[in-house]
Amino acid sequence: MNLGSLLDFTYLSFIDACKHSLYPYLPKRRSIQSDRVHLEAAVSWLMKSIDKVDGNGSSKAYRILNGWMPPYPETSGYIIETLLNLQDHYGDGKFFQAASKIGDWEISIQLEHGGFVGREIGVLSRPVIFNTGMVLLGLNALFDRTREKRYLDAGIRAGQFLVECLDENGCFVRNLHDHLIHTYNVRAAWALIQLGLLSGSRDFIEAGRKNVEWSLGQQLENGYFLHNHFRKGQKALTHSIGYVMRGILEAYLLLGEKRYLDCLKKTADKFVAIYGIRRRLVSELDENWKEVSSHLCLTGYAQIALNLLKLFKITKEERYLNTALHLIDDVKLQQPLNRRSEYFGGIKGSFPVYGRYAPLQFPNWAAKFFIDALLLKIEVMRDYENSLIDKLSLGRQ
Amino acid sequence: MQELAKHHEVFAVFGKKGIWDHLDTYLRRRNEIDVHRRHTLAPLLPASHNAHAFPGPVNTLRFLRRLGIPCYKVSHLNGAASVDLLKRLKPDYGIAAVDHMLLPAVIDCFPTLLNAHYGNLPQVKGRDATEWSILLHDHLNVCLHEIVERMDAGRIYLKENIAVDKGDDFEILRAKCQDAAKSLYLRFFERPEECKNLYESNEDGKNYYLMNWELKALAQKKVERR
Repeated sequence: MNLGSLLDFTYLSFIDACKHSLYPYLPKRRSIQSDRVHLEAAVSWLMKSIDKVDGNGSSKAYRILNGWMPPYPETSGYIIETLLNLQDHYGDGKFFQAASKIGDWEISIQLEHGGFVGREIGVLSRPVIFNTGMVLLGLNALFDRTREKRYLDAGIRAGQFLVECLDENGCFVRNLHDHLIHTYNVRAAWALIQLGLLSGSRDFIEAGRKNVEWSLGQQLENGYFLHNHFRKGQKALTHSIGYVMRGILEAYLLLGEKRYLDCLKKTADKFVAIYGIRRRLVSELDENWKEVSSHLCLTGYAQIALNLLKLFKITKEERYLNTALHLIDDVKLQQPLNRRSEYFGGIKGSFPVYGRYAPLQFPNWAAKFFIDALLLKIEVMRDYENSLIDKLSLGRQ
Repeated sequence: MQELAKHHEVFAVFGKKGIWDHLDTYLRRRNEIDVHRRHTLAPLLPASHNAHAFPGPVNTLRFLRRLGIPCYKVSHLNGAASVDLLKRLKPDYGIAAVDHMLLPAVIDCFPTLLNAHYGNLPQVKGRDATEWSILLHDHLNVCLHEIVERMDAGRIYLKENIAVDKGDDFEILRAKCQDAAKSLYLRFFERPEECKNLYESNEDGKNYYLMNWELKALAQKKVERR
């Protein structure tokens, strides 16, 4: 810790405290830039997080008082897919190179039984389901892109590890994070189904499907998911709900089960209503969707925006698009765009920055989900505008 | 109000008392609408409109008092003081011109509480109904409906179609809706029982919320390309 970082901490905390208490009154429109500006800033931050660890993964986060953290296998795993999407968006080979280097690094740290360690490098030596599933998503994406066998082989080993963690009801019960059952592990089920389709193995698909079915069983009538907190005594976070939604959404896209979509719409409708009425989504929500915290989880914002954009693509329901656009604007408002700052383009864990979720940090997964959401938003808005123009032209004819 | 006051006993209740209530609303709403343009719209409209439909910025409270209409102020329409006042006044009908939900306790004070919804009911309920109606449909209605506990879900008594012209923006459309709402209220109060018997169901449709500025821009483009 040095004087500079201490000043940074004081300044950011003070500004955020003021902004948070005046949140409903802030002039929003004037403070946000175009998608391109925000996207470029977030991409530059993400690439910096990769450079800081020499391309061996991506630094877990920038901590305001302590600088860059060691690489995080879990989030580095799902960042691979984002890098491949950036490659398609910008057509710049550096993104693919970064993705394949991270993929090779992930393979080099894979444990003997196929799993990947929880937490950042150097903290935990045992494998964890969720973390393994997230790395598997990256390996799947790389195999899908390159057809190189080493990614599939590593993926199959990770897949076998995941299958062994399931019980007969489809619940992941072994190698848990904090020894708790988590509904958000359905993202690992998504990775399994994807692996099954890539490798042609029905076993992986069926294992993934079983967990998706178990996860659907955790949904209450009001759309809330039980067993979806990170630690004992906590309630579900918008971040973990965003994880569950994505897992089920991707399972729907891969398997085409309409029930998955119906379940997802229930939760999405709730978010649309809550945001519409309260104009914010606080980080933690209880079983009745009551607010149990006052800070906002910006990662959760970006994830839910991404899910709603995907849902809009499927359902053509404009209410989902509208809420997604609001959420993205809210994250944009919090992105530092001062080029001289170390965290230029990063996304805070919480707003205010000292909130309970990833306090005083700019986590790499927040930037990752924000980039994903912006890339999809650009595509969706272009298509939507074209479809409106087409409809008008047809109307005139 | 002026027209109604000729044939009925009319009173008005204002849900903001002090400068802070107004400032709070102003600061919140400036993110959502062009407050300045809304209040200075009249000179932007054709002279033919100005004469009767858009009289320009007026102080409503002063205007009503000049007409001899009793006006009451409460700090919030949903507050206990408001409910007590309404119970005391025992109105036969109510007209709500509010930008927030009313609590059941307030709604229950009126045998019939009416609202003019500037959007297509039953499909488009909730906020920014004009913008949503333009974006989702090719027409715009003003609907006179009864207020019930659920947002914009009460019986629809009367409807009027609004002409959407090339060059209109949402503030102009809103002003047109205001004009239409006035004639709907007058029509309703000419034969209230008949209107209430010939209602349209308002069951279907969805709740919409504040429209994001990017969608608003697309809806505006849609108007321009008509």
